Amino acid sequence: MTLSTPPIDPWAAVPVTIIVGHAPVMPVIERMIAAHTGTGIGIGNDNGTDNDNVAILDTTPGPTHSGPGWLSLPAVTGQRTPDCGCCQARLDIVDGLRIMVERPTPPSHIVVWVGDDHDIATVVRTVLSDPDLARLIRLDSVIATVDAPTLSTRLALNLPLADRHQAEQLAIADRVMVMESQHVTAGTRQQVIRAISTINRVGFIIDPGLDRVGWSDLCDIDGWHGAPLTTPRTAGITTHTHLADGLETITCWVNGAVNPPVFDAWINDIVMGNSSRILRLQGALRINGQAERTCLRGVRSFVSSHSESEHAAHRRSRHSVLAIVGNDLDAPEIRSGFMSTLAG
Amino acid sequence: MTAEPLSTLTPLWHTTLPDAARAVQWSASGLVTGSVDGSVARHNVDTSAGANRTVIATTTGAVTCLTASASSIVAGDTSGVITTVANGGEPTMSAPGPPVMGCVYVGDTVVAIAGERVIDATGATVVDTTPAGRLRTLTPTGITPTDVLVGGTDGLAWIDLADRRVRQHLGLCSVMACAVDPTANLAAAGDLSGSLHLVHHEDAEGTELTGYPDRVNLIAWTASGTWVAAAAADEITVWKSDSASDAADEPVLLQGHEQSVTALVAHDTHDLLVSGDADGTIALWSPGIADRPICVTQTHGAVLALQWDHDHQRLAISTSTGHVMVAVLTLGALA
Repeated sequence: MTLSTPPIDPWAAVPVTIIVGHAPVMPVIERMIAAHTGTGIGIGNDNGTDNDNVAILDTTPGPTHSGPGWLSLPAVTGQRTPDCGCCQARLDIVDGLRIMVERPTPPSHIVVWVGDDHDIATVVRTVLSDPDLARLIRLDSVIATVDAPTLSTRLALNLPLADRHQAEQLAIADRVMVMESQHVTAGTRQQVIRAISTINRVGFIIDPGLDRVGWSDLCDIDGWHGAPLTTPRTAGITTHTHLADGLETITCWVNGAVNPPVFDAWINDIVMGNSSRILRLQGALRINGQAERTCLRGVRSFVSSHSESEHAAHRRSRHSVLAIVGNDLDAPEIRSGFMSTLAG
Repeated sequence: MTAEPLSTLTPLWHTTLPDAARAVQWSASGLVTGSVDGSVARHNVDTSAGANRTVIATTTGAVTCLTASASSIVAGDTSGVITTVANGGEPTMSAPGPPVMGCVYVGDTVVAIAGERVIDATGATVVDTTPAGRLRTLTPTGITPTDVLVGGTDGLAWIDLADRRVRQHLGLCSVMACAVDPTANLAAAGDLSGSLHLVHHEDAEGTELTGYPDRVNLIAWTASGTWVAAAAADEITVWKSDSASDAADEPVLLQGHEQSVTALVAHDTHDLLVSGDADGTIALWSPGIADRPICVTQTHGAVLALQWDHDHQRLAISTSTGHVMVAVLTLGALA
């Protein structure tokens, strides 16, 4: 496990949105740009004089888009250990983000558009853990898009809703955008949203065809910083949610404080023992004697921590909560292990 | 006049460009910069700062690398285009492709790396694929006039450009940087996992030196071949070359940077190193003195490129804020 310290002032870093999808992504990017600039589609100029711009790092395969503020790079995955998927890094994303941010006037927001067959955990791990990127950018959110007609057809045919890559993308997304829902009935749309909600337990599902989508729905989400969004409906218990094919979200939530040394040892074991399976780890832990909770975030073998004092007061609570999204996790063991870390 | 005991770097000239220059190169006609906005510009550093910038080419992507000969300047960019400006004429451009990650003159021929290919200045393939995978780093070996070393996601490959063949290969995890010993015996490669590999050219056998805090991004070999320096995160360590193959020996940590080291270069004729970091600190090092740099100067923004001129006296420095500076080296009596 790698414990690292984020930049002293995380808000000085350029926010980054990772967007991935099996539905058209461009409309979402265009909405973000329009919402950001307030002037419609326009990414600002490319000579560094416009500080109110959204830049796009496009790592999708196939024909590249172009335009000011647009950088297209083919995906390049590097390995730290032979045949080990848990500590891979996307070198193209490191290169691209550095080129975009290390400028006289960096963009005010960056969208990283990754191909729909890319491993989302490797992308997130790269953005969260790379030491050069840590001083330049901060992960704002992961947005996944789905095509409502395609999903409704799969539901009607009793086919799996998503393949492994897509399911993982949906499971860890902060926002799932249901696209093209105007082509399905209201009932079918509800079926699609219900199906997605069985996979995604940590974000919001948005239908831009029906919902009014503004800047705050897509940007300044800060989804990977602070306590996880998910909480069980009943306080004082731990829950886990089974998803398709071993993919699940485990949420542990108690009105109590953890014992720091015990928790550190336990979370280290969990991460090391499940490094290839953890897709998203996020928590906020109450510690006796400390006014602020300690927040955790991670993916695969990477975990970092920070104080909740960095967040606005309305986002804080006095509970200890931990959410883990992953494949083939031992939910009972994690549940009992978490409870064993509670103080007194 | 008696020289001062320690060498110094003294700022001589500076200018500020509209965008960050990720590459600098000395040419016969002056200092050349390659910027993220795609401009390749020539600067007359013998005049005062300011109005001496001539844009000689505008590439289609962000400039990633520059190389120069007596008559030509060559730039590679993120759109995979190689732009050549010869004798002040109109620029010529190759077709786009994968990003050009490095380019260098080998004799009178330009060699570049893009994707898995080694290409020439027209974008034509020299070697289609190598066992080194997606290529990131390139350097002449000095073994023969046509021998180059490339590093990529799958390791190192030694390439004979005359025969257009890979003559040696070493599988490693994601090589980030490589350099060769001036005596042409050893290669050094830094990888994503935080290891430095010292490898004999002859048989691609070598030693792995572990323990760096993160990926080893930068490597430089001092002029005598005595010291090899490697940087990872905010650490630079130097190994004595003759003992570096003995893994029991400890490297020496150069103490002075508080931010990530972003550029590293060795002087061509003296055992001196210069490093730059994300905070704009430029440090001049004598590798035998680890406690502190022998000279420190400051610029604005993260240092992106360092390049000595052909006389080994002037150092060009470029940063993320578009600041470009030339500093003059004054050699000390002791270090």
